[in-house]
Amino acid sequence: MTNTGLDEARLRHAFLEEAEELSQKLGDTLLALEGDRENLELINEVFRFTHSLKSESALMGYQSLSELAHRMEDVLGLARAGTLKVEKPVIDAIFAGSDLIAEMMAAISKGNRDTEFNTEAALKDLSAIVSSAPGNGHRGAPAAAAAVPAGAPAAAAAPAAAGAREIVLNDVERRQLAEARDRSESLYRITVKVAETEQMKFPRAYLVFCNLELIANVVKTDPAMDGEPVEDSLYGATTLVVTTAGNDTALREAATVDQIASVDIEPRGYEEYLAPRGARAAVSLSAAANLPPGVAAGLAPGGVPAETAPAAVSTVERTSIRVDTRKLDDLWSLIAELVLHKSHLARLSEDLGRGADVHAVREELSDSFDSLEKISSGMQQAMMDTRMIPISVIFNKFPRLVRDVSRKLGKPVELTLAGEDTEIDRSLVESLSDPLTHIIRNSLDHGIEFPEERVREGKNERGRVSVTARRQGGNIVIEIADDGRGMDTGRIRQKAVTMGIAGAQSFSEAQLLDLVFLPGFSTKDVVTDLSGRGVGMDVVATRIRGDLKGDVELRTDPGKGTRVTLVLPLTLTIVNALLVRGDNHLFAIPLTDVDSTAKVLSTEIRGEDGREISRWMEDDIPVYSLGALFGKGRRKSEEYFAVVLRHGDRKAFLLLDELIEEREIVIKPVDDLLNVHRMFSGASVLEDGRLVFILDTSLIRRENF
Amino acid sequence: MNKRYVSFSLAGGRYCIPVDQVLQILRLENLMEIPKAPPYVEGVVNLRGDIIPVVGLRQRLEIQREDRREPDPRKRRIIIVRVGTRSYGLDVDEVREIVEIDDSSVATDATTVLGVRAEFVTGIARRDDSMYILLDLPRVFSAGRDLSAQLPGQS
Amino acid sequence: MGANILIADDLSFMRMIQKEILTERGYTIVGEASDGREAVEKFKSLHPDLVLLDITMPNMNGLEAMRKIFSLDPKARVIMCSALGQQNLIVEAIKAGVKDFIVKPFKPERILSAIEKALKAS
Repeated sequence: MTNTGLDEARLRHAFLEEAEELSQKLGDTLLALEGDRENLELINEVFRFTHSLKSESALMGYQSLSELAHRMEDVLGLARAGTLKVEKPVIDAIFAGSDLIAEMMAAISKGNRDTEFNTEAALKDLSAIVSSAPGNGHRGAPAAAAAVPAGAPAAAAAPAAAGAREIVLNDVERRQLAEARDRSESLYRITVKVAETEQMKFPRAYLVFCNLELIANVVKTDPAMDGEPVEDSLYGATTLVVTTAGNDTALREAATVDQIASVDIEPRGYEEYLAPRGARAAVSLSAAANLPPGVAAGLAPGGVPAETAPAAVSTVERTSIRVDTRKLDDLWSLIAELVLHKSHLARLSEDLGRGADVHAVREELSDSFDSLEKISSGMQQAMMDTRMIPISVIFNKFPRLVRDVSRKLGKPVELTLAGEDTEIDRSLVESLSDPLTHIIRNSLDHGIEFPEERVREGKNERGRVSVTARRQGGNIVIEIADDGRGMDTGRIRQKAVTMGIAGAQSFSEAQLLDLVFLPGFSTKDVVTDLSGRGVGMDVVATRIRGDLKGDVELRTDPGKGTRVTLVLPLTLTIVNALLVRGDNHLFAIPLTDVDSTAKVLSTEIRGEDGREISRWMEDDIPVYSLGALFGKGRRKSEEYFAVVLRHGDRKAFLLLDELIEEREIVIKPVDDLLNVHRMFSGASVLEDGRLVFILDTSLIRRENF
Repeated sequence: MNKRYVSFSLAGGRYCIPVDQVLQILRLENLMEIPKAPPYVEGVVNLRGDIIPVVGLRQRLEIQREDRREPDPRKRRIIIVRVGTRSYGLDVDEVREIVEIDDSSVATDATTVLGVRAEFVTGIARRDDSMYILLDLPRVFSAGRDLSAQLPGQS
Repeated sequence: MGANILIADDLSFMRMIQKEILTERGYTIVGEASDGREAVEKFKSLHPDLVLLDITMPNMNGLEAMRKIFSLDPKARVIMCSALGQQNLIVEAIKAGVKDFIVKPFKPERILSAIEKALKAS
């Protein structure tokens, strides 16, 4: 520790006094804990003691002591969170650590160093406990979250290079930029580098972000700041795209927060970010063969919106997610049960071999099957649950947003949030964040009146905005309501008529309000007449209706307020699939399971019914037909359309009636009742209402095939 | 204790299900066929994006009774019910009234229930002049351990 | 120079170190608090120019205390002290308006420069 003239001796004395007391208390409380292992209060106390010991000894430069205390703190942190049970090995390891600390304290008080002690064994034991705790291997904060590697995003794109990243904006962000340009604001690209010595880079970058937000508009950051932060070190260099009515001096001042090593501000032109993007590259079948296995097979961390160019993903590509360890525990127990059943089945097999009664064994097999059913749907559910996070992840930004914007505009507004615990699929988080933010901004900008006007209308001077979320059936319903001036449907009707919208004269209120979601209605000059209320709503609608397959609705009461209601389906797993027809039913095959399409001549098929094969590349592979699997049998023909299915190392021909097209489909789980033969891995409903079943390609591995 | 039920008629019999399990009642439109389904699954309906299996109770309950009269096709409905976290549809001849039935008037030990498979019935109640069959919905919709169901590949 | 500072941390040892560093630089320590409740009380009665708050304290933690202090005076100058691994709490604090944070164990230059910056800002 740098000497700034402090009295070293006095300092040491104070440290010794306090640390020795802590060490003593630690020992005493541990004894009590040993006799009462589930006592949360005791666990908390021990945790605090090790925490304090860690901090103090680190400050004094006693690294060895500090590290030991830190490791103990990790173990206790897990116990505190309930992830680790305080069994004998745990208590023993903590005691060992505590004893060692006591010895170190004794040595230090005699003027010696803590480094004379061998902490290796103790550290090893403690580390072993930490990594053996279910779902954990990660040191750190008490309410530990484990990182689970997930598949890469579904787009057929090479991951963005870690070097100079070009920022790409999504639709809502581009809209914001366009508006800023129309307001004649200047555009800057700011790069801040956090000091090397700063141990928490994300909060530092976040501070800069918050400061800038107070005086300017931050359109985008890279790495992203909303939602869950990515790896801390990535924030060491953060880029922000900012527009401001002022100049860069104010920006520089706001960004020059403590522990920021450098601030680089570059003026930019709007065209750079607003240039039209290339059309979405169609994924060709040959490219499908190159997609890495597991990608898009229902485990994509987020659905890729159809309009985004796949090669340029605007947010950091994540390859891991954070999951509440309790959810992993659920999976863990299911896996444990699975293992039990595995041995049960093995035993049954042995029994049969030894000539046990076939009927009795059949009974047991049936029971086992039942349990396996439950386990497998339990696992499916548990996996889906790990995808669910509380919507507070998005809601948390709103208080700040409302405070900042209302301050900027000079309109005091009170925000109420409800239903923050409602869980949503994490893939929805990124896509929902912008539209919701936009709607709230809209409310503040154009809905809520200025205080004087409100008072004149007999309203409370403070405007009110409420955001609520709730589950309804298989959907999430989010409502944003304000008590502002509402929208004048008469004006909307006039505008619609002027724009030449057929039948507008006799539209109902609901129909008129729905018009607000049309692109034409969101243009700037139209919007001025409507007092800006429709701005950007077309983008919101595209996002919600198109990408998220949900719905959005506007309701208004002129003079009293407006309410926007969004309804979104709960889970959205989107997969690139090949749509095919077999015996008048539609099926979808995930592109990752398709090796190729082919035409097979009936002369090329050899073997007998039920065991046919044909040549593909250098191998003979089995031939199946959709008609036979699901319908009346294969129709006779000289040649057939087919796909070559691939599952693991096995391949097979699947003969079809028609190859329709490739498309992205949203997978819904399919009920057991519809899937008794386990042929489907899900189902989907197309825009026209037709039902499509998604083939479970693993059926080519089944023995009775 | 009095509980409320939605009653419906099917093949001349009266059945009822708890009111709080009933989500919605639909007309028989847009029923989509599905490949290789069990005989008692008539198809699915698409309800706001959810794919809901519709069970034909005649087949499921293996009703032996002959219908005295042809049911009026215009009265045919699908009752959407909620069992646990899932939704299902029941194809019925006609939805009737909401009845209040006291627990004490339910007989649970009937072995042959008017020609209906007993395992799907939780009891029978007599009310006024009618007999109401109380259905065990979770059983009705469980996929059943039909290990003897034919697996594809075998004829 | 000579600004009044309130120090809040449950470890007396920590408070002592901070006090030494700050008084050496010429700041006045108007008060010390060992838990969140005391911190808010002393903020009310002593009107310090700046508050050094530790994030984990018994009897109302630093985050709570900070929120209460801001509700008393939205312009209050608060610097949050935190140990490594409490990133979430720090981010919450930033969202609620804290202007700077320090990670423990800290070097004296760090805390001094943070205080200087905070006092210079309006």
